[in-house]
Amino acid sequence: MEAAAFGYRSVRFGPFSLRFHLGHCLLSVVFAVILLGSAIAALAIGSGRAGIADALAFLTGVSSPAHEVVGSLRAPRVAMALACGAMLGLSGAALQALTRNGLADPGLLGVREGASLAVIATILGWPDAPLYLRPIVGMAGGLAVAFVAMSIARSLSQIRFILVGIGISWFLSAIVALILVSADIDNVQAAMIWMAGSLSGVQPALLPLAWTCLVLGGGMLVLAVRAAEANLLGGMTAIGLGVRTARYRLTAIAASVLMTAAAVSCAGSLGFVGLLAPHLCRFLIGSGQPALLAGSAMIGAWLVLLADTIGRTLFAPLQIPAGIVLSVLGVFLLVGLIWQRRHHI
Amino acid sequence: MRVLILSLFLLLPLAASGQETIRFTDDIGRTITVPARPQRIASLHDIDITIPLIELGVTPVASHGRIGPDAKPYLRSGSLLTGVNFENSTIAFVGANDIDLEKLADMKPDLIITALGRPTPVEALERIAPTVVLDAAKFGAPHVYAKLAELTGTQQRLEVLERRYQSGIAALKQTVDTSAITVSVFQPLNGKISTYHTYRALGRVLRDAGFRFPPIIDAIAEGQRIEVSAERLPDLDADFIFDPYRSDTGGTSRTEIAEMEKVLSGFCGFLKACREGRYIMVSREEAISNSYAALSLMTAMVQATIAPRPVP
Repeated sequence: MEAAAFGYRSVRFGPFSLRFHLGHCLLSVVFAVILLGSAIAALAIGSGRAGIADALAFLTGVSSPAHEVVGSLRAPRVAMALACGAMLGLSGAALQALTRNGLADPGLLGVREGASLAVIATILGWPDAPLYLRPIVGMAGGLAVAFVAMSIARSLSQIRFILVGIGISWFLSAIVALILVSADIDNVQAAMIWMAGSLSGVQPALLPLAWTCLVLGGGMLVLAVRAAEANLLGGMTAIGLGVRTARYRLTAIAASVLMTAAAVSCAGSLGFVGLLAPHLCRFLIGSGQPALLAGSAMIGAWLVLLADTIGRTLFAPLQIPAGIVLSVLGVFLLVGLIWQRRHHI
Repeated sequence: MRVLILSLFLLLPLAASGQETIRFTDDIGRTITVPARPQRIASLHDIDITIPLIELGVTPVASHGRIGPDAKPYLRSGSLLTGVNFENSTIAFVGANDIDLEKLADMKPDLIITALGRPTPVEALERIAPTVVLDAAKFGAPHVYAKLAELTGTQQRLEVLERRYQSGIAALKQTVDTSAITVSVFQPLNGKISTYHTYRALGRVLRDAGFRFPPIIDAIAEGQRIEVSAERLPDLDADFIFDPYRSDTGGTSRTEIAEMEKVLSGFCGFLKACREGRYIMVSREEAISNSYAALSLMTAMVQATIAPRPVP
């Protein structure tokens, strides 16, 4: 191990070297422990008769009377909340780094609206469609919108592509609103709850899809982490440092589109996570790209897990969609964050 | 193979409880194995399923409900039409829009009955108990009652309810020459006018009694509704017009008229029935229900409203 410089250390394994910030690593580990504790707590809390002993029994593979409640009802929600939150947090961090703009979030590319439009059309047009079709249709819608945005923009140049994405997202929002106001009022409820971002109908069969997208998208961003750090210094500087900026942009956008479409398709429209998670990460852990990616994933996962757990337990049996809880929580967290960093903004 | 294993999983609780089972085809074409005599039914729609079940003499163990202004749950129209609600029965409240699946599972239902279009996916419910989907909007109340009676073995009770209702319709037809009178049912909705082919209990009474409807209403597909702008108001005119006001949220006939005024100021002047005092306000709670209690109330209301007036 080489000496520390600005808190960074390097470790060499033959021809490979790993550079890391010891403080960021320690904070990330602390946050991983908090996330694990929160997930176990979420497994132990609910209106069913299952507590911490049943949650631990489930995790250790020991049978318990409440195994069904924890295993069939709570565990899929917790696992999906973690995956979707992590994907949205990662997408937000990637887009903020790509655009060098702290206001960027996954909604910018129109992918969220594309996925929403496809899923809502399915819910209203084919109400008895199998549930597993929703994420497939949603991802197809999200990816189609990204493709259209790229075709119109004719480049992945940050500003042009994102401006086209914003335009498309407004257009799609208008179509979604038109569908909702013109559809039969008796059929709109399911679509409205899905739009509010609800994890109540999570299917265990969808978990492999969500986690695969997380691993794929997250992996792509990890591979591009050094290019992302160089890109923060400016496009020309990044090129001067040997970064293939076009390849980096394609990787960051493809990963963001994939993960946003997957998260929205599986859990509905969960706002604020992509915007808030990277900012909370910079405040709590640090702003280097490796720390930002790891931290944004964990904080995003924690935010969605917290929102879903509050939503399903606070007024049980009344269920509040996680998206609504997230919006309320998000406002307070954002205001608190702005207040803490008021001298830097 | 997966379907076979899944089916075995679903059948396991039934087999373990020693219950006799039957095969039942629901309104979305699924054939499900359900208990022949379900003892613990959970209903996921108050108006369309819970109230019909109560009328058939079956009290569900759990039901969907609404949240009132006092933050307490209630069965819409439950107290009014059946006298039964959450606070005076053993029915457990399991959620308003979205259902609390853990609470539902806690009630250990042996059959879940839900309505098409409910937000909680059938796939999630099937992890708890065999789930049947009924579509009252498309197939109408008589179909739902018949299906529920088949599921619960209460066909005899349904016959009694149907006979009472048909006797009321016969009495109405005896009093009023229904074929000579046109009727219309509509209500203001978000600045437009909403009208149905058959407005639930009120519409069913009017159609079963043989009243005639304006062509614009007859042109609506069965089980469907349309929204029209104020320009089409004269097309909805009839000898008698019924406007169901939103009574469950504290609305009155006055608030309903205020809503109609928002759709078209001076709307009454465009409708002969209104100008001549045949624009009838009806409580939506009774009119919108699918229950036999509501049908009896609507039959009596229509008879009392139309019989004393001279035919225009």
